[in-house]
Amino acid sequence: MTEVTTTAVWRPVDTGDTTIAVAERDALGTTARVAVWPPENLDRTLHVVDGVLMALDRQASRFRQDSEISRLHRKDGGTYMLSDGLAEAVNVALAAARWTRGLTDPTVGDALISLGYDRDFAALDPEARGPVAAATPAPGWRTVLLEGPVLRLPPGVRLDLGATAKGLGSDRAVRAAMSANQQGGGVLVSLGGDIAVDGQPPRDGWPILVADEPDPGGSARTQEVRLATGAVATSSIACRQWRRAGREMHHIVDPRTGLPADAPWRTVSVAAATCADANAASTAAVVAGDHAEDWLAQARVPARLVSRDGEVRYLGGWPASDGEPLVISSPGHVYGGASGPRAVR
Amino acid sequence: MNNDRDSRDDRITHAGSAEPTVGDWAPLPEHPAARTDRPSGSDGEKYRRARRRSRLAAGALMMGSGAAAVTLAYQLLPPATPPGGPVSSTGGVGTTTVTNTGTGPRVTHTVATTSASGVTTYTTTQVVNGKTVVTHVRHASTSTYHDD
Repeated sequence: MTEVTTTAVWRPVDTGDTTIAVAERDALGTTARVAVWPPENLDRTLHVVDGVLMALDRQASRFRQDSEISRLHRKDGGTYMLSDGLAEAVNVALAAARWTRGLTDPTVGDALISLGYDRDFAALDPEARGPVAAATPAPGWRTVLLEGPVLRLPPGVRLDLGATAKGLGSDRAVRAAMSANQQGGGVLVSLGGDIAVDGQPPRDGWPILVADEPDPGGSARTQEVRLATGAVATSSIACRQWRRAGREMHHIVDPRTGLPADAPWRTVSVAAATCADANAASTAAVVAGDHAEDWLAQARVPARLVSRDGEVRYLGGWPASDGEPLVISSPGHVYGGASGPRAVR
Repeated sequence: MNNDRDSRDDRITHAGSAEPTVGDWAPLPEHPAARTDRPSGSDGEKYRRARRRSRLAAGALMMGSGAAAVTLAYQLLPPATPPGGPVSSTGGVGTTTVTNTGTGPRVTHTVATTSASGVTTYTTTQVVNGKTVVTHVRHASTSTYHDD
């Protein structure tokens, strides 16, 4: 049973606080949510966030045949002059790979397709019986060369920017919103749970629920934290699952094997200076498996890990109790020393 | 332009985006308000300024990609600080203190959730009469379909 809509419409969300305005809509195969204060900034903010989301989809979605990245893939290798936006997205993905020492890797595109993740997730057959191609390690991010807007892509390499794209989208959106609002007030943007904030936060920070599932209900594994600056993102193997030839699959691929990461952690949340950093770090921690805690300690980011049996672990200053602030002290890595994305769409 | 020429012969191919690439960038005209703040120079001064800009541009091109230069310049920008935002001092992980200036509103209810997020839609895109038509299809929720 499906419901078909032809436009993405923002829906107002009543959180119970009248001092802010909140709205959400479907975007990028998940949900985008925007919160602003003062409330009168909402319309202008939604307008610019729409622009950011549309541009990111056109640039980097491998599920859109008309996206820029899909056109690259159809040419199967070569040297390309990218748009400013896609160049930034690829640059961020490569920087994340460098920072995570290859735990995230944008060259896992072919591996994901081999595992059956070859279309928008909601369109996947969750019980497909087709054979699974033999897993092979990703070609490796070092095979991709980006010099300014010029990309050299080896034949047979398909990019998947999933480890950083939503974070980049949230970073771009809050920056564009603050610019549109002439740096007045504050804004929060969440793309599928990858959340960035900018501007003046509410007193004590934006209240954010950390959870294993999108609708956690009364789950004991939830926590409320406060975010005043930076970003928080979550990666999980508990969702985006499907079966292929009788095998359980999920979407976080270990570049070293080309297979879904065999992680002891079902969910990892990370707070960082930017959402792309948080997005990359949470994905890297899932891929790192038993070494996740070591990697997160080296990265010096606050993190919350939930094991497969429900044990919760707090690292790097992530608060252990409800209502506490997330304190982010490490600088961002994936924007090359800058504090965030360029104001591009 | 033929975007489908063989791209393995070291020629640079445009991916076909409708967006302007860096190579298409052109300097924006100066804002009139900015001009009024500046004493109007003589024609000679204007000429010398234009010559200097021209030499700088040529130098940048000789150094390599103009876009690379733009990227480097952008990376040198200091981190932005929200105006009137919280003041923080860093003393290592777990030792940063955040002092809120307290001018934001008081928000007591959860605003957003960071989690493995639920799949809501998939999107198909068609070009009809030269216009891109995006269709979102929402699946009814099932116990299997989830998304991160």
